Amino acid sequence: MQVKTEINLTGEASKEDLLFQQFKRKSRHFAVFVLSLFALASFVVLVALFILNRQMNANENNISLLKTGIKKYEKRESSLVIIANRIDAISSLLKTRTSYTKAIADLRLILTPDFIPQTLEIGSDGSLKISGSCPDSRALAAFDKTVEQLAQDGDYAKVIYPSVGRQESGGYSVSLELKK
Amino acid sequence: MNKDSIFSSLKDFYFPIFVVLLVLLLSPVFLIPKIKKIPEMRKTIVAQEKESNQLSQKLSDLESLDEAELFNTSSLLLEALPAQKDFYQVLTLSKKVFSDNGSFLKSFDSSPGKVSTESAEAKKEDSPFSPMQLKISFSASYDNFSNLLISFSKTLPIMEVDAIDFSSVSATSSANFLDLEGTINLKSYFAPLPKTIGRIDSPLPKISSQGKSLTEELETYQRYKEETAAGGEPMIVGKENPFP
Repeated sequence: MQVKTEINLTGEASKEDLLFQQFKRKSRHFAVFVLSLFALASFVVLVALFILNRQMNANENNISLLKTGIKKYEKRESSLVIIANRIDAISSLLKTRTSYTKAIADLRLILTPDFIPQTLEIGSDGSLKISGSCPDSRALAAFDKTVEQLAQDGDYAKVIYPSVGRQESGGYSVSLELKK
Repeated sequence: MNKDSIFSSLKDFYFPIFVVLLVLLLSPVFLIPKIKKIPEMRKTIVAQEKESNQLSQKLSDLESLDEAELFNTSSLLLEALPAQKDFYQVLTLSKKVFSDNGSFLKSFDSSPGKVSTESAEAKKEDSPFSPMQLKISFSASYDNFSNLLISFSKTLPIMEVDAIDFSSVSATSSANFLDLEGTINLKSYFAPLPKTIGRIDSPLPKISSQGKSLTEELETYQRYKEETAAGGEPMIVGKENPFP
């Protein structure tokens, strides 16, 4: 017969009790941990909010100070707004404004001393309509040479002689259209 | 295990249960809303910093501007394109340009319309400008007429010779001394002032280099200011000092 060597000093009941005590202790530790974590998170969040709030207030103060400063220069700002508004308006006005400078300069070339004008029209687009007379063929040739020169310059889309005639007096009647 | 022992066992877990319940309850009510607030506040701060930068830039720009120069430039530009219709000014200016160029203003015809209100109220058309037309009957030599047109294109307020109609062209001794008669249609422009100077946090309008060169060009234009009364002795107002 073999002799039992293991000696059980605690009973089954006290073992369960020990495990229960361990579980109880662990659950308390867990609760303390969760509470600490919550408290820490709350603290961090509150500190962050405090800092951000302070920064927001400082920014708000800074903005209101800047706005007060800007209001002091309201007159300068309104002048600048007027300037910008007028520059835009005047630029677009000058872009579309009819200019007769070119037509006048061309007219000066066409009106040679030998050409006697009778009618003259300057269109708003700078086109020209001229009628007149030349005393002789030499004057007519000089007139035509000037017109050809203008046609070659390419400033006019069409250069038309609607009529050229010889008068009883020996002169030549001419009508000319320079269209843009 | 009897009822008492179960109850006493539960009693030992009151604290952990209370803590878990507390955390579960406070997290959605307190902590999570506060956490959500952080990015919102950061966004606001970023926007504030952006606004602050814009405002400080605007302030430094405004500080660097020369008020006298601004006043002169805006006066020049308002002279070039006035806000109000001024029929009398246009007429006197036209007469002056004609006489300065040796041309003769025979008659004029105009329909100024509303002149006492701001031009913005008078116009309802697509054009941002409110033109006032003046039909002038003239006689001039060719050279003078040519100079007249150049003068009108280089005069403040800005005017436009819209149409030219020659009723008579007669040559004298030479074609360069043509005598011209006819009518010109003169347009003078007005535009309303901007209604507001914009929001305080809106950036200042930038004047481009083309805008600056336009202003410089306008400075070279002929300016006909109404002649002020000739200065003589200052008028004494009130009683004269008996003990000088």
